[in-house]
Amino acid sequence: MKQEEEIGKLFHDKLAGFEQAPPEGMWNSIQNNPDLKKFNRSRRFRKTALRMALPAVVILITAITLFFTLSPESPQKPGIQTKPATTVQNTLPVQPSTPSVTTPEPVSTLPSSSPSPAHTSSLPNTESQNTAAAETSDATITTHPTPLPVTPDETLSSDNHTQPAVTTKNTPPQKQGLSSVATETSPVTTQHANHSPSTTLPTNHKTGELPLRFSHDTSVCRNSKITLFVENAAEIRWSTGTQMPTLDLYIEDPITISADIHTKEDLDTTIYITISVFDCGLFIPNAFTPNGDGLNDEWLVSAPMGITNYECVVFDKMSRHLFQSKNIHVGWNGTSSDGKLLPPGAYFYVITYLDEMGNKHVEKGQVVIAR
Amino acid sequence: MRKCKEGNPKYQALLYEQYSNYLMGVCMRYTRNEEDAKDLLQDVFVKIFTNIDSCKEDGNMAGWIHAIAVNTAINAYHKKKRKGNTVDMEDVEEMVADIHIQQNDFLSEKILMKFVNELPDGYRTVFNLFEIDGYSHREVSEMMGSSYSTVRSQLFKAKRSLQKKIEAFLGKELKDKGIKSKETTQEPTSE
Repeated sequence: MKQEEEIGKLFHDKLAGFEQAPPEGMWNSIQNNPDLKKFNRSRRFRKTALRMALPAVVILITAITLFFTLSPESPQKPGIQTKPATTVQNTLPVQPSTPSVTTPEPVSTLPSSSPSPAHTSSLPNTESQNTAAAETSDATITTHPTPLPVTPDETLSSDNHTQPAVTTKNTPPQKQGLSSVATETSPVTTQHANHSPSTTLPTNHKTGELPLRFSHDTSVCRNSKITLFVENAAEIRWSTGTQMPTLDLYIEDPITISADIHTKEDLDTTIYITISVFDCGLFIPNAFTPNGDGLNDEWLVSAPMGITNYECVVFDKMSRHLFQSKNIHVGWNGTSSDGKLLPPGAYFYVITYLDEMGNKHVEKGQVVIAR
Repeated sequence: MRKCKEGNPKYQALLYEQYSNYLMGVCMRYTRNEEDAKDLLQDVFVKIFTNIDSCKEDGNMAGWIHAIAVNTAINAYHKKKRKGNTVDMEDVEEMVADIHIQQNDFLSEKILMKFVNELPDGYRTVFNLFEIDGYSHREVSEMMGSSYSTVRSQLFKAKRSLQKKIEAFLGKELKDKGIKSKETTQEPTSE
């Protein structure tokens, strides 16, 4: 049972889909929100403004010729005709992905007042939009996200000829508003700056073998001995109190160990290593002492989880059968099949069983008699 | 209805209808109480509507909306923190006892939500981001503006706090039901 993971999983399972009806009047409050009202107003303006655009075109084309003589920017005038056409396509945020709008100039001036607030109101776009809008010399174009210049169509036609999108109205980048935030869940990766992922997954669960070494979260079979270590740690103080570079643990239950670390680069940090526990198939002692002292006199295999079809055979180096059992609760007392006490040394076992899922497992190994 | 309507107020009502329950649930998770959740929800919807342009039409709208909600929640947390209104415990608790949650059926959504609401603001935010909304440790540390180890530590403490609440609750539940609380061990659930 991985305790810490359990909690996370429990809350995730129960709360991820949690829904609740908002209180009454919520929608009303939202609609009355000032920011939203302004936004909607600006969009409505733009929409109606567009409709007015076409008739206004004719008026403006004639007006341009007038400006041609009046404005000091006459050399640019010929350019005005062509440039706005292209910039308009980009500045018209009504349909962000359709650049095929060919509405002429007057329209370009209209969105100049509204989209900048609209775009600047989206968070990550704010800065780019502000700089873009700042370039425009038009007095009616504001760089603030909130205030909407309420410029009626009539005034637009008169004022903004000289400064239509010529003044480099940058194309509003069509960014996803929240690109910095992952919208998809990404797999959880535990990363420890100090640690190197140099572990070996437990291949057996026998005690007495070389302890497994771990430097990050891991799962081991119950009753394993493990060693924790931290690379790059000049000084370390484990939560158990010791300050040795490595920490040996005998894992019976899930545990989280923390350590205060002073790294070689002079940084201080605290790390957490969580050890979760598997109930591995069988617990097979690899040594016992049949000396009558009451301690480990019997070699007994145990199965924390349900198993079936257990069979165990013990034999010696000469492949002589010493012991056999089909009952996991019957242990071996260290005698041969004819009852003789066996000398200390290494003997061998083969155990087969079916786990709870019905999968067959074969365990082979050594069992040592020590006296 | 899937289209991001560029600022057309009529469709805003439709969007609200579709997502309000879901988003209210999200807001409940990130706040201390229903009142705060209400405020957050309003901010979320306003953000959604005013930033509607940045929603790609062929993209994942639900995901975009979720991201806005999460971001708004985090911003609200940071704002609160700046004002000094957060409740953040710093006390060090002793090592947690290894009692396991076995009676999951006792724990209703409402109870769990209550526990989450009771967490200190920072822990709650981090816990939600990592465990329920599925962001990685690194993403959470970026979004919160804290170090990786701080995030891990907060997660750890959040879970521990939640576990203690659950234990306390279950202990009481069992007592009320007249059941002696058994010494829970590593018993596998299937024998």
